[in-house]
Amino acid sequence: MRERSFIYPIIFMALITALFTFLLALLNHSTAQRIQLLEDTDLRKKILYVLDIAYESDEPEEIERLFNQDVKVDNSFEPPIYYTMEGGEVAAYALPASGPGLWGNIDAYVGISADFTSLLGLEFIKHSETPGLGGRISEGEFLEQFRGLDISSPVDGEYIIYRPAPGGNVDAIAGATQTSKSVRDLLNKDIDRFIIERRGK
Amino acid sequence: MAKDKYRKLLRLGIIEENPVIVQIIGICSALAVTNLMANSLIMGLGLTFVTAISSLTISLIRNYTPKHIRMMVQVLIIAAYVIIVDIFLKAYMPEMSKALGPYVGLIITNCIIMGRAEAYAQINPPIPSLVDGIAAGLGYTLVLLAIAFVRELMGFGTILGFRVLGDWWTPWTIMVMPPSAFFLLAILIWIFNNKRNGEVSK
Amino acid sequence: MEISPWVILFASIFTNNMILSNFLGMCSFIAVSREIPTAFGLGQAVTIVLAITSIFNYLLYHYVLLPLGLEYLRFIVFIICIAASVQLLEMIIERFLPNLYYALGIFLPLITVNCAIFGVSLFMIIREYSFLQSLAFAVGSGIGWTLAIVALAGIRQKLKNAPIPKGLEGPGITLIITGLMAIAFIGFSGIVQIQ
Repeated sequence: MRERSFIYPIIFMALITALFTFLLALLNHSTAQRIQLLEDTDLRKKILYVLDIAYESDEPEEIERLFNQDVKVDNSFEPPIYYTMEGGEVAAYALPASGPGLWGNIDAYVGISADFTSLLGLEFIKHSETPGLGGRISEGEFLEQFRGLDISSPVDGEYIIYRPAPGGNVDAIAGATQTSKSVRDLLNKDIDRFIIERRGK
Repeated sequence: MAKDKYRKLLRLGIIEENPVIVQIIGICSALAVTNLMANSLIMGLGLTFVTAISSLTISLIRNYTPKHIRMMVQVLIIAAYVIIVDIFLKAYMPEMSKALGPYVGLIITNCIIMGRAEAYAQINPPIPSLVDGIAAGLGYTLVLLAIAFVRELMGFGTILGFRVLGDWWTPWTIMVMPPSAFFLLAILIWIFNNKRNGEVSK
Repeated sequence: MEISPWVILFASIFTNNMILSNFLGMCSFIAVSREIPTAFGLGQAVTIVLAITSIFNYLLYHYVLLPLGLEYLRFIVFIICIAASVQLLEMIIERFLPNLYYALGIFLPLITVNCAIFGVSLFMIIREYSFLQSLAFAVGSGIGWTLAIVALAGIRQKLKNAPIPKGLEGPGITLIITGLMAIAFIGFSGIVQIQ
């Protein structure tokens, strides 16, 4: 009798859907704030790293405190440019850099000193590169190469050059040629544009 | 009596009817996340959880579920639990969530969960269904860990992130790339079949 | 994002093949790759479902879920949409192509849980593709999947009389062949310049 009824499956489906949707809405709501905090903390940690500001504790509150204390933000740009001050003058910038990757857009932040001579650090905010291959651009080993890189004498507007090409200052990721190239290109493009714009002022 | 039954279910799921090696299902993610053991472990645990609790739920309502929409109901339940796992990872294990990426969502289409739902949970009581789900999940996890062990060790020189092989080891980049997973799984199946055939001919 | 849909189409067929690079759609891939005609038929079905569901899922996500703040329900919405599309396609095939219907058997409804289809919908959201990019991605992935499964079926047919070790018969050798195909497809990866 139940099986034959036309209306029963519809009611059943509707009930089950309602029940689970309610459960999920509940879970989503209760974790939304925490997830947002984690995402904010992640971004802050990355900006701090890129500006070469050391932090000891990973606690969200501690990161937030340190961030608000040391980092200023220029919201007139989208995404915003962050910077640090020292003695009333700008000491370093963290500028956004992005470009097409192998599979999707790559968004990064790169820190450069105010005199545009050295690259302080690099971190990726978002990318969809192949896990285990291109995805390894987010790994410490690749990122650490960019720490304190000398960018005072670019070759044809190229600040990042992969070894073994002449003038090479960093290593690409073995087996991830496309992604490495995308990273290099987006960095060179955005660093160059930033420096030219700022120098012009 | 019941304990024996559960033990049997566990043995079946993990060894004799291992979903990946014997039934050859659920391999999509088995191949994708096995480049690192840590990823495989979390993936395996996530899948075990979803399979177990989905089987339990589906079994609980099996007598009320209309026949011709049962696949949609199963899919809905599985999807809901996977979303729970996804939200949980995002909130409490964000690094792992990023590492696993889209493959968490893909647990939904993992043939193992549907397979166990259709083959067992739809026609058996709740607690055995739960055990059956756990067994299949564990069998899957073990195979994943085995493949990941080889891939991580030879591809990165680490086990679970700990450097084991020194600088003298030239990493096999092929192990980091997709094809190695195919070969390793084939080898595992080969070893398993030979063992089984060996026992049969005795 | 400025990647041309044509580039995405090309890339999804060759350099980022759904099966050989992303491992999605393996279950039916291994099981249905014995005979070329059946494999081709399944491939076409998968491509059609991919095209339909990518359109609907894109529209549903961007015009219903996002505005209402319900992104976390996307898994459920996508999979139900896929299930409905497959059900529809199954009815059409049963009516107009009965031979294919019987040849595919259980694997037709199993398209619902084909990781490749769900994966395409997921990826197009993660990678923030536009509508055209998503469509190109879906169709390309379908063609790539079909290409892989037909190639595999062709190889398996040729291997019918080859002396394969007993333990490797069936799934074992299929996986090895697929692995070799995957390596071969890596050779395509330099072709596409995304700039």
